[in-house]
Amino acid sequence: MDEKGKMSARNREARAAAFQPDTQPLTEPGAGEGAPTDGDSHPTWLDRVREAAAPEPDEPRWTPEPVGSSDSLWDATDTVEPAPLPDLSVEVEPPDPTVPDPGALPETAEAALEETVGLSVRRLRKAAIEMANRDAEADLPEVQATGRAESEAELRDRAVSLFRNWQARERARLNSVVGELEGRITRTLGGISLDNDRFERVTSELFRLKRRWDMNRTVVENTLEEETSEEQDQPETRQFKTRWYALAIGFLGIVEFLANAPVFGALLPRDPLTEQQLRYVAETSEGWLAGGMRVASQFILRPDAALLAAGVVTFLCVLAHFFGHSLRSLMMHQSARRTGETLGKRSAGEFVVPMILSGIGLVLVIGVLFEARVTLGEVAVDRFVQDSAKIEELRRTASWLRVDGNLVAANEQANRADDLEALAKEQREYAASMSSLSFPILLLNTTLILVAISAAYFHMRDRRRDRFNDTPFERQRRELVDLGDATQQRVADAMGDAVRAIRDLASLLSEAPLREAPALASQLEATVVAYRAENGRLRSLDTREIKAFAEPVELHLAVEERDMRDLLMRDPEDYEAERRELQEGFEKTRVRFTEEATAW
Amino acid sequence: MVIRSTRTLAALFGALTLAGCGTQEGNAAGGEGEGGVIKRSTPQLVVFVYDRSTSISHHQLELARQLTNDRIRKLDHGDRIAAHQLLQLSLEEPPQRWSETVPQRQFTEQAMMRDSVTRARFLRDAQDYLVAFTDTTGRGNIDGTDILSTLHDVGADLRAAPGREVTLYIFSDMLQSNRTIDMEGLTRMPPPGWVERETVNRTLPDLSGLCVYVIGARVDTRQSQHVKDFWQEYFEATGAIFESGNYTLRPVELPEHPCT
Repeated sequence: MDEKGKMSARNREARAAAFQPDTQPLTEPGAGEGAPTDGDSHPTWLDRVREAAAPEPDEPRWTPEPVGSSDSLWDATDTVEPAPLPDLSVEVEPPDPTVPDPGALPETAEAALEETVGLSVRRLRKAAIEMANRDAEADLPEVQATGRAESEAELRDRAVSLFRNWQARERARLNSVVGELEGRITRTLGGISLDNDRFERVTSELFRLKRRWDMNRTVVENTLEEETSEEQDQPETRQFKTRWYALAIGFLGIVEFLANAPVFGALLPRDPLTEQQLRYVAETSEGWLAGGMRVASQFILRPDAALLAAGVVTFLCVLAHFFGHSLRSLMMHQSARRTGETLGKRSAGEFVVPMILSGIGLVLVIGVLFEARVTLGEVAVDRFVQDSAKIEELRRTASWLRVDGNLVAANEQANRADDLEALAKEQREYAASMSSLSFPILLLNTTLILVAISAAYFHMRDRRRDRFNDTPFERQRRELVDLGDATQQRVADAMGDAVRAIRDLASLLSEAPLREAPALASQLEATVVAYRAENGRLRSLDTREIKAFAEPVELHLAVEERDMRDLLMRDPEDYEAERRELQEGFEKTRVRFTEEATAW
Repeated sequence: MVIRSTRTLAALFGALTLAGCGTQEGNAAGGEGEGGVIKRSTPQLVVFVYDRSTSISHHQLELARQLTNDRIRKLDHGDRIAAHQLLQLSLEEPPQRWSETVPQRQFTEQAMMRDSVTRARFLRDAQDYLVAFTDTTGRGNIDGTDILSTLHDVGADLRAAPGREVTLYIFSDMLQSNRTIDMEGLTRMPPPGWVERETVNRTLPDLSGLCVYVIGARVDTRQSQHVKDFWQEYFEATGAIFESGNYTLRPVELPEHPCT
């Protein structure tokens, strides 16, 4: 094996040794972790930028795994055999975060971003030391040999590759952060612009609404003023005049009385003399007044039934009157409450309570009448059976009297039997018809009561005066004001977000991109220097005596000009100018909005 | 308007009150006129006297029943009806007599259907009841015909019904036949002057104002004329009104007012 071959073999060994996981690293193990483990560490400005830029979730995070095929950083430049797979059976002592790493890079603001790079540098240095050991054992490079040593050349290649890789990734990362920020700013400013337009529309609509309100109010108030001048003497009006109301209620009462009085007459006990007198009036009445006299005689000669029916009808009318008035009062109270007017100390309960009581009373009275009609059928059947027995007895007695020659008494008994039979049949037929007509009469009663309630409702004196109803306009105004306020709040929040995002972008770009490049280049050059120094030290030679080390250690890792150029599509000042323009438009609209909203 | 309504109600009350205050006398013998208006007339007392002795043929009794029914139909409210069967021998016998008054109108002079029904029913019952007085069966045990004694009972009816127009209808052959007087075949006619003597003795009934109408008496023979003369003298003596034309055998109908 020649010298070149020996060096290659030693280099491979050195690389393998350098990549062993149990090998003591040159720097502090804890410093190689992907995230700072020190709980007391505070986020740097770059962390905030990262958060603001919302890093892509698929961006791989570095993990402290042994260098191998998964380490893309080294794989990208490694021209030798791939590193062996890590031995998972060997337990690795977790690094103690409390022990400072003397070889770690200083914890600067850039350190967080350079963690992966720092670890790679440390491992590169370790590999350089190992290479130096191997080469020293093999006494390479020869002192007099010129040209760059094979290990150093490989070390240089790796350093350059590492630098280029770092540069590319850093550039991509910065581009991503800036892109995210610009996108956010653009979205925020666009949203502000849209909200400004919406705010402008709301303000204009508010202005038009006020114009409509003014116009309608003027027209209505002029009309009302003309009507009011005609009704100066009658400030409180009734929709249903008292005389017509009394006439309607009286007529309804008569109808109700006629519909229900016969029921009570049939239910109450009958008096034979009364029946005789009724029959007399019925037979003697003639002419145009005959019908009226017959009907009147029914009520006059049966005062009990008439009074009972009149009482019920009175109850109905009074209850309907109070119900209608209470309902109207309640409606007026609710209307006044909706329009914001005050009614002193009155409450809705003052009208609800009598309305409920009168309503219950009406239901009870109607129920009593309905039940009376239904009961009338059963009562009539029972009475007819009893009357039939009486009729039979009377006729039997009449027969005996007739045989005895007492014809007058017999006649009287026969008359009574005939009267009773006629009355029983009449009552039975009336009861049957009434019983079958219970529901229709219930509907009739209900209708009459509803009519009475309606009459009372419209008879109620309305103390309110007609006026312009601005409630719909007020409601629309409130909706517009609420919408405008919400838009204002949204614009204000978006303005704050935009200011912060623009400031973040400006802060990010105020720092020179890739400004850590010289430091990284120095560290990489230091690995070559370390190789030379270690090699000389182990061979007890001055590195200056080795001609192969005479070449200056310069890796020429300067950042290219194109990479140093501005990353922005637009200048943050442009964003700020646009934001200010939106702010000014918003302020103008806001002033208009405030004027329109408070000018009612 | 209220005053007018009050007046209307007052009028109605007044009419009803007057209707309830109607009296029997006021309504007595009211007749139904046109348009329901009652035409007032003097109430009547109609007395029927029946002879059921075997000397009266069946068809004569049948005629008596028919004529009675026709006459009864003409009775009005408040009229009184009386019926007697002739005594057989003397006043000592228990009389077979019946009397009733046609029911009065109940309230006023106004014609009412109910009163009409009552009257019709009463008259029908009266006709039915009086059938017994013209019954053709069971006459075998009748031993005589005592018209003179029966007229005493008629006189009692007459006194019980003052102020009425009284008519006596006698369904008989007018042949007194008892132990003292037997006019059949003029066997024991009252002696001449008998009426005067009885009048002096005040044994005759007071039949003043009574209109007598005889049905069933023959006037076609000398004997029957003799009997008629006796009765004419008798009724004149008692104060009754007896006209020759009211002494008949088989009249077509009974006149309502035979003496006017």
